[in-house]
Amino acid sequence: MPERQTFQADATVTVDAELHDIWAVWVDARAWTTWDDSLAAVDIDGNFKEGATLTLTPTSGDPVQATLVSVTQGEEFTDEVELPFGVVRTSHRMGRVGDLAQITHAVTAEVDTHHVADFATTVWPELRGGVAASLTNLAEIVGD
Amino acid sequence: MTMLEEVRLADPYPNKCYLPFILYPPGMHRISGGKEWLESHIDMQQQGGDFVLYLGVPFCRTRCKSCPYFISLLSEKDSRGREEAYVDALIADMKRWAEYPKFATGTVRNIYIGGGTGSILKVANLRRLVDAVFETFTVSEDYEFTLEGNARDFDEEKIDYVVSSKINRLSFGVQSFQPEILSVIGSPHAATDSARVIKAFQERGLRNIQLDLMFNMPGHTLDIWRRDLETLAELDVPHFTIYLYRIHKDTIQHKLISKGKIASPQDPEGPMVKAMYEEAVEIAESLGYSMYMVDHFCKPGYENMYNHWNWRVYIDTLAVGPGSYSYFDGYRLGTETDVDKYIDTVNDGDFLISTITDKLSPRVQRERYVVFALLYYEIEYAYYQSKFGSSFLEDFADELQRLERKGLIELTDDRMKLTQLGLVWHTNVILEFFNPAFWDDSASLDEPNWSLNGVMVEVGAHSREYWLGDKATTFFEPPALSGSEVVPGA
Repeated sequence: MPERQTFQADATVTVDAELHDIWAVWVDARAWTTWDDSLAAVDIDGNFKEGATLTLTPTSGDPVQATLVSVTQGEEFTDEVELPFGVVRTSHRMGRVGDLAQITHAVTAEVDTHHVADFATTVWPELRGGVAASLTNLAEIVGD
Repeated sequence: MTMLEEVRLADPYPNKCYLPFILYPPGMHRISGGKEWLESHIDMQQQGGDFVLYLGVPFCRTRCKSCPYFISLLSEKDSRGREEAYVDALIADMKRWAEYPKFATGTVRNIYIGGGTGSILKVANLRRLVDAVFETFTVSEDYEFTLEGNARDFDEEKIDYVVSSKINRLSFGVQSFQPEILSVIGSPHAATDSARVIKAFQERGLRNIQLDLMFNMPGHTLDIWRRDLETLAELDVPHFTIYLYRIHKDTIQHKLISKGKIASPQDPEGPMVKAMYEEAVEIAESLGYSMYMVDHFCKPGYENMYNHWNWRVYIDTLAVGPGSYSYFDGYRLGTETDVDKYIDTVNDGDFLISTITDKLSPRVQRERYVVFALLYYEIEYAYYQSKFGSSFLEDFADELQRLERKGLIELTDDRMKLTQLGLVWHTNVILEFFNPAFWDDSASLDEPNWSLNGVMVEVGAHSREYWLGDKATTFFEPPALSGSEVVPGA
């Protein structure tokens, strides 16, 4: 395996919402487009559980295959996409803070070193910005 | 002109009521005291009679976006062992109820594991629960034992267990066979799960299967509905139900629609929704099903006997588990939905009885029988007389006179039957039998309500006139079609 460099970004929001409502929005993969502006369409093969395959069609670009690599109902899920430059994992986690819900979206990219320069200037800014943007959209949907 | 079109010209009531499920009386109030309250209000030492047993499993993998039955999420990983702890408590609770002669000496006619999601339990826990029922109670030889749930939960091991167990009926919340519709309503299963699992059970010889379909979900069209009905026909299950999809307040679906993220369902009084219902009825009849109770279709010999014993024969209900409602000795008793509190209470040796009705008067007990029996479209005078020792025609003379004047019922020599118009307005007809004391009951909105009791309380928070109009008026100007239905009375 080539040597890789890791890029990470995350964002957290606290919102007046029920965890089961957030979970219901997350597991409706076909409707991720309602809170993730980078996506034009999503399809899922089978149930929302570990190992399921997602087809993510970005607003610009060709569809890519993602895999749900971790799903803990009511707590978190992570999907993973293998791309020519490396691997991108997007994690979604939630929990209660007092009467409120705390939601965290995070993206981790493990990028082959010889792609790092290109990735850092052309891909990463959009990925990083999308974390906060998707979280803001989600909070607006689920919040009271 | 069809009957439905005529109804739009002159309605028998000012507002049409839709209820997916009836609970009566609606208003309940909080109590504490559990065992102490029970023993001081109900003679638990009395000889038992026939009763039905409901066991609630308060867990789901995800909350369907507009589900009123949801209680708690349970992860497949279940790292804290919640399922195990819950089943321990449920069995202990069941056994504690059976320490009283009222249930120890009674006979269980029918058993129903619902929820939540009954099928979510692991095989080992399901086996423990099923075995405990038969170890704890006297179960009639001709019992029916239904496991309700979701096809997603059934792997080969669970299918094999269920087929070999004393469970002899299955009920699947299918909703639709189309992936795009299942996504929109947030169902946990994939579109192919239901057909795969139903066929697997049929191949192993378990054919007494019910499936529940919904119509008028967001994005649902007549074409999609026809495809659902075609799949239904191919599966050849002996029992199915159709439910009008409802957007319940305080659900994520309500938020998604109000924020413009999902399209509203069509107006339930609009032509598409009526066509959906009519097509379902026509297809069902052409396939040999009869609509033996409201929105319930079956082949001969496959009626839902849990409903039959509960509502038509009208026997006691012992409901165990969070979110469930019992009825016996003139009381409704509710167990709240807090799973941890339920487990703690049971482990402390007590019952979690959270809300009750006041003891129902003889009049309200009669009303309750009529309200439920009307789900089967008719009241037999002789059976009513045998249950209550009085005359149905005399007890409800005023109500029957109004209903007859509006053309909603027919009084024959031995029974009252709903007319075709009465079928169209059957929920309003049922409301005619509500006790006057239960109208304008906004105070009950502030009491703890869960499942569909909240919907019932919302109906009762209105005035009688809101739903049924002035008693002297026979017909009303129909309201204009609205954009969508939310909850009754909202």
